[in-house]
Formats: sequence, structure tokens, C-alpha cells
Amino acid sequence: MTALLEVTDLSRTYEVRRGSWPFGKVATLHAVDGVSFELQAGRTLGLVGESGCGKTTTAKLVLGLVPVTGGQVRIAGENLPAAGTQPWRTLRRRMQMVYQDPLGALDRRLSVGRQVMEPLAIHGLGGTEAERREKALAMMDAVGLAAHHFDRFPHELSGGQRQRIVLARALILDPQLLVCDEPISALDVSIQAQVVNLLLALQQRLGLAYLFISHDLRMVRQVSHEVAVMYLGRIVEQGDPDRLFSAPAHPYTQALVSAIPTHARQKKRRMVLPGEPPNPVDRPAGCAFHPRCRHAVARCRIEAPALRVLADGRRAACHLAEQIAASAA
Amino acid sequence: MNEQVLSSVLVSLHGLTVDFDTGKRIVRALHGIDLEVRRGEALGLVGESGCGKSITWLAALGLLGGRARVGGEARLDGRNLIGAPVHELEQVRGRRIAMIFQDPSSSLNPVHRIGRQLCEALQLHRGLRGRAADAEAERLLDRVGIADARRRLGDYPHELSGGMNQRVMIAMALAGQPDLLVADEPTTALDATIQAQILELLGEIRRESGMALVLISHDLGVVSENTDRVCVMYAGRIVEDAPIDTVFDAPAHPYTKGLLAALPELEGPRRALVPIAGVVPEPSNLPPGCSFAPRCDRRIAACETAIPPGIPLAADHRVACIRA
Repeated sequence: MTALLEVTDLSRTYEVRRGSWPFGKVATLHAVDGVSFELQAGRTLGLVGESGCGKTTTAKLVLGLVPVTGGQVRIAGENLPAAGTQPWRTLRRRMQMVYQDPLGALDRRLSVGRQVMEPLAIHGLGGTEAERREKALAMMDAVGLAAHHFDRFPHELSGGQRQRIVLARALILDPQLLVCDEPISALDVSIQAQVVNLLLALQQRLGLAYLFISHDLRMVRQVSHEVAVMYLGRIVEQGDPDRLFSAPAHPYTQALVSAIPTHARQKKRRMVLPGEPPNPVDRPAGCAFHPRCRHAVARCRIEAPALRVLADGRRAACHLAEQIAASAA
Repeated sequence: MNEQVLSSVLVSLHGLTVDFDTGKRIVRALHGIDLEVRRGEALGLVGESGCGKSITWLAALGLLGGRARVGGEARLDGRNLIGAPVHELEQVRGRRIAMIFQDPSSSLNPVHRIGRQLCEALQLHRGLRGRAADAEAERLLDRVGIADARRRLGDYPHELSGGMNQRVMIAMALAGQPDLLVADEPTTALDATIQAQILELLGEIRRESGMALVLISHDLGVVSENTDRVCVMYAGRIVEDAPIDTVFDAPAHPYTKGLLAALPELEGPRRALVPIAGVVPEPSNLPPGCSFAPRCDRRIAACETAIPPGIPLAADHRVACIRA
């Protein structure tokens, strides 16, 4: 079966000037560096990692919002057309994006109902004005907004309700893929659960595929069928969320899991990672993680580990993956 | 830790209220907070945005500005800070009670070097100047885990990362050798692995100096690992006050239970999340009875008429719910 979304060796670089203009050398920043994954219809791929690791750039590359430097994005077996062209516009109907800050994503001067109807007008779909209105109301109902919200404005609603508007607006075009970039991070805890449950219910009903980006590993495990962990623009571990989080094979995944404060771990010893992620312009030689890794051996400083398939089916980019997974289990 | 030291009360809040004058009308944001912080204790304050966890401490230190009217008492070693003259408050702020905030880069002055800002705090609180201040600033930076402290003193905040800036803020807070550090969401803006570093640092400093810590957070997990006791706040009131293990193992208030049910686990079988229905009420439009009643699945008629008092369930466990 052809995957809905197939990403091969995706990369995006930026030229940055080190030091002030016109002095300083131009260096290359690898924001995303050889990322590959597949996403089947109706499934969720979780993308986790710390700020600056390339999660959001990957999302934008997938939708064509940022041009790729190298590699391929294929949607249902077809290459992603160049952004701005007619075929791309047609395709974008099937792939929508949800951002972290709903208030920033919405137009404050347009009523809620108008914003939900707008995509239909843009794509020339949905028949007459009255029919579009009907569709918008049905979609608002599906995401848990009442009909009386139609004429309200974004600032009059709560954060959770605003994120529902964003969802309704994305879903009214009947997409197959929803790219969610930190969709619940700006919401309060009790509201996060409401939105996550809504996302899961919508997936069940509409067969949506999600590319779910978040720094919250617990939420990612809750929604994902597969998880990819990114560090400095590369995927370092990828596989089944339960296995990945209970017995990480990459030391970085191990550190991320260990960093989550939970009551259950209160008595366990936390592993605190030294230092901070390096500047992506100064990618360390060998394995990019080795300066912060407590397992690092001489080989890690010289040879960058490839992302390889382990015996249990997951993929990890670490020379010592087998040992580390075994010690964690 | 020494029992005797633990038992003496450092700060006590009694019926602390805050009213904001919006110009049109007066809105009560804090409805009578009763709270004690003992010497050397680590207390967590948990709740969602707008529940009043931050303004509780801003009010106690007189930092809310002219729009706010503060009532009730906030006693530090028995002396009431509410309505105290400014020169008296200045003896307390930073010196007895220090505060750090969520976004370190906006708390630091962007146009002054780190060293100068640290020395300013040292001069203000400890009267140190010149070489002595420089040496102490270097020691503090070193203490909060900043490598190459001497050179870093000459850096500007924008030259440091978010985690580093939060370390600088902690160093500044330590400059006054306070008895109590109020950390308001100190790690919310930081990445997971950096959050772990900062929380570990705070714990280390507390164990070393015997300073009390109030950790304000929306994340029950953060609070659970770093405090002994937690107060759960909802709509301007404390709804549950209990030792940390009790909150997780036997929560009594339906809101606390709801928060725990809404959080996914990282291990074990995946279960469906149980969200709390509805939204937090507006401070200007609170229901007449228990503020949580409209969202509560255990409410009875009495919940909607009277505000529940704090009911002691055990010596160290208090809950504001008549159904608990």
C-alpha cells in the first residue's frame, strides 16, 4: 500500500553569517538533515524533540510552506508540486496545519463562523453561501462548538474553544492529513485532555492522519502509533511509542524520558543531561549527541551513527543502541 | 532535616484577598488565601492560568501596583507586610523573600552586563561593593552551575541561552541570601532537559542553604518531584492542601482528582483521558456557591448555594469540598 505521506532524505539548510555584516564567514545551518519517514492514512506519527531540533521545519517542508533543499516529499505516491502552483493549491486542500497559538492563527476581525467558512470560498467549494454556512455549522458541531458561537469573535472565546475553531477550519476541506504543531501546548491541563480526546475521536470518524509535533512525551504517547525523536535536525530514534519510552535505545531519548517530572519517578534517580544542545551551525563531529552523552566511546567522536533497524523493529542512530535498550528494559 | 527548624512558621497568609479595579467595576481575583510556609519547607502551588497562584505572592510582597487592593494579612516572622511602608517592604523583597519568574530574559535588563546586574543586587542587599562584590558575583554564578563564571560576568543576557539566564536569575535571587524563594513557573519556558537541570539546581541549593521554596507551577509532575506539600488552587481559592503523596494517592477534591485523570502517563497501559468538562469561570462571573460546582460531577444542591469552607481531613490535609 502506498503511504499517504512519504518523506525521503528530506533536508533544509540555511546560509547564516557568523559575526556581524559584512565581516564574518557564511556558514551553513542544517535545520533538517536527511529525515525520512512514512505515514499511513488514519495513523499518527509523533515528532518530539527540544526547541530548535527541526520539528517545525520538518512540518513546513512536508506542506511545502518552506522549499526543500534536498530530498523528496510524496503525497499518496505523487511528488509534492512546487508551492504556489495550481496543483499545489489543490493538494493543500488535503493537508492542513494546526498551530500552537490559536489566537495568532485566527483573524480577530472575522466572526468564528466566517473563518470556518472561508476555506470553502478560497477553494471555490461548498456551493452557495447558505450551503457553506450549513457546512460550517455542521463542522463546528463536530468539534464541539455550539451554533451560537457562529457570530462570536475569537477574543470572546476561551483557549480551548479557539483551538476548536482552528480545527473546524482545517477540517472543513475534508483533508486526509493534519499537521499539528504543538496543538495543545498553549492550553491548560484540563482543556488539553478535551482537545486530545477530540483529535482522537475525529481520527476515528474521519480516518485522518496526523503528524503530531509536541515536546510533551506523555501526550505524544497518548495519541501516536509511531514516534520519531529528533536531535539537531536528524531523527535519532523511531518506533513504537510504548517500547521507545519504556526502554529507549538512544541515550537522547533516554534523557528526554528521564527529564519528565512524574510522581511515579519521585523515588527513582533522575538522569540529568549536562550542557545544552549545540548550535546547529557547529554540529559536533561524529555523533552530534556525543558531547552530552554519558555512554560516549571513542568511536562516537569520529563516526556519525546511521539510523539503523534494531532487532525489535525500531530504528535508532546510536552505535551502542542494543546495549542501551537492554540496560533500560 | 531538623524537625525543630521545620516546625517554625516563616510566612503565614491569612484571608489574603486581591481586588482589581477594572475602571468599570471591582473584580475579586483572590478570595481569602490561608497558607503557611515553614522554615526550610518546599511548598508547591498548583493550578491553571488565572487561578491566582502568582498574584498571591505578588500581593504579599506589595508588587501588584495601584489597580489592586490587597486585604488580609501576610505575616513574615509575625510582622504583617500588607500595608507596610515601602522602606519596610524593601527590607523584605529580595532579602528575606526573593522571587524568580517564568521568562528570565525579560526579567533581566538587556542593556547591562550580567555582572553589573548581579553586583547591583549584592550592593542593595548585602552592601557589597567593588572587588568584594565582583568576587561574590563570580562565586554565585559558579554556584548556579555556570562554567567559566568570571568571563560570563561580562556577557549580556542575549548572549546566554534561556536556561543560562534562568541560572543567572537564581544567582541574583540568592544574592540576598533569602529565607524564602518564590519560583513562579521557573521552567515553563525551558526545554525538558534544561528544566531537569534547573529543578535539580533549585533542590540542591535548598538542601544546602535551608532556604524555604514556594514552587508555583501548572504541572503537577514538576511540583511532585520537588516539594513536600502542595496547595491546589482554583478560581482564586485554595481547594486542597496536602502532603504531596496524599495528593497523588488519595486526592480529596474533585478538581484535584480531575487534574490527575486528565494527565496521560508515560508508562503502563494507555487509558482514555478523562477531561474536566467546561471551562474555568471568569473572575467577574463566579457562581454563587462552590466555584468548581458547574464542572463537578459530584455536585449536590448545597454546592450551588454556599461556598465550602476548608475542611480538615487529617492534621496535614485540608480540602474545600463538602462532598470530599
